Amino acid sequence: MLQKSILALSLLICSSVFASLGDDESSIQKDNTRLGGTHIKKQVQQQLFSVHELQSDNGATIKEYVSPQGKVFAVTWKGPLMPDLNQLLGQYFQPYVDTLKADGKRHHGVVHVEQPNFVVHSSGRLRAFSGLAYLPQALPQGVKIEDLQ
Amino acid sequence: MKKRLAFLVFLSFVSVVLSGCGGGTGTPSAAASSGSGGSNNSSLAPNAVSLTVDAGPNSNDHNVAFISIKVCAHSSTINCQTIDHILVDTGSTGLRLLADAMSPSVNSALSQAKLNNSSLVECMQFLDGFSWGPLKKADITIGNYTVSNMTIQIIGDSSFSSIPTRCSNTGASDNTTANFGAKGILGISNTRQDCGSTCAQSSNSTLYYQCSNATTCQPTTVTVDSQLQQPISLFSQDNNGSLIQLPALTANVGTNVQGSLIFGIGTQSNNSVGSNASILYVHPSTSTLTAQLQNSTYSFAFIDSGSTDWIFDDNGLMPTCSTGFYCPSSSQTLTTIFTDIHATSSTFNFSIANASEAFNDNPIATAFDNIGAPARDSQSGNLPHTTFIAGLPFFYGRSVWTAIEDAPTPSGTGPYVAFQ
Repeated sequence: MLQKSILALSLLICSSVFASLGDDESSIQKDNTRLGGTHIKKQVQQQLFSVHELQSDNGATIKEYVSPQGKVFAVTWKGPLMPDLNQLLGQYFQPYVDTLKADGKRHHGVVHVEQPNFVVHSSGRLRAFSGLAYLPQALPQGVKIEDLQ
Repeated sequence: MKKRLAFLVFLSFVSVVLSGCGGGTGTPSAAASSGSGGSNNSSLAPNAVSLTVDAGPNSNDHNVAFISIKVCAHSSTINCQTIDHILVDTGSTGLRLLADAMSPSVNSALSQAKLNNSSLVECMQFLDGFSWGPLKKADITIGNYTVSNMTIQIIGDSSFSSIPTRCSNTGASDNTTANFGAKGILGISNTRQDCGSTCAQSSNSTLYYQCSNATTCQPTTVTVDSQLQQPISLFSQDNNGSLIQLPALTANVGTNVQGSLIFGIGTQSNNSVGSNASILYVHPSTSTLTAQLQNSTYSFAFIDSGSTDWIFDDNGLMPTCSTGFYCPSSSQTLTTIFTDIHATSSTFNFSIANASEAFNDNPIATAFDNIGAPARDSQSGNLPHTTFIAGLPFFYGRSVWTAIEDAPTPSGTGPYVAFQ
């Protein structure tokens, strides 16, 4: 019971945050509502981009990377269960699923979908998933993939 | 996983009670032929079943090890079916069957697992997709062992055809034999449950759902003892883990390779960890090791019979083909060091050949010990995981033991992997 009260309280305080890849920063609010999570860290300003770190209700830690123009150009996740990728990938979720379906080969142990306009990389297994998705053409100038950590 | 000890005590108790009243729960039967888990033959030991690495139910696979199992409605001798092409996976936990591979009459005769009068349904999450379907109770026979009333998942069961958005939003659907690449999967990993404490504590775990009818489902908490269990752990004996033995391949390839899945570790004369074996204790929550290869360290390393290839990044040293596999101009021999949580290490060699040439030169082969593919972690930033997977190629010519967490064996208490 105590746990439930604490959860309810945190949801009240942080009632919204999370966005879809390619969306405006303002949609981070929408994302958090959908994922039912908590925004555990405020925006951390860096030189080339800012990061929102969020917690989904199914235990994943999610980071959303926002360009100086206010666009979400990358997301990462790490957790025991898959986060809501439809919410995180937004318009790129269906192309991602279509690419997975077209690739008949299973049991690979990693998933790497690379299209001209988006990249999704997913690894791990139940209890320990992690992944990253980004828009190669939307990376702010000077930002390398290695910087997304 | 955390908080395992209390549960373990409970599980042992249940196991004792069941074997005391069930008249043969998990007990090997002397009448091997009538047990017919499907794949016994006269040369097999009583605690073993035959493994086959063939092209799979879709005739297009390589490096997938299959067994047959027998599923019966509880206490029924009529509503039974032997199902072939059950993938043996040391990387997941629980028995799952594809509904489209089952006789509809057998499937419908299985009783639904319930929680508070609602049906329990699972959204199993594999890396490349989700598998949705109800948990049901069945008498499962694997070789000479029968587990009465085992909870299993029936993937793609039409009685729960409405998939919750939270489930379908995790990836592509793997709900048919064609998509799944097997008629079922026998998950015999180091962990006792597929999810563990996470799904027992959070109702938002999005793995387990309770459905009040065919279309109304909500995420729910499920206690660890009601989750899918490691099937071998439910046997009344030889229940502390498994041993997989596959023969070495000739010239790196094989067709319809036959090996054995042997139950128990150090419980019979045929399953003791060898004196020359390396015993590596895996991370208690992720079941991983670390690996070192060519001066790179991989923090998320594991031995997995359910992965078809060697998966790792080689810092761009080897080219890849359009199929995504490594295709070096000549075969490369690589040395890898596995290190466990106690800093114990073991070194082994393997080779990576040109996958396109291997497939083209051996069109009917189903086993290859030198096929690899990049994990592409390094191209994707500093992900928390840097992956090294020793897939089924690792198993050829080896004995590989997988000890279940908290299970005592003569060589130590699981979770560990051992090989020689």
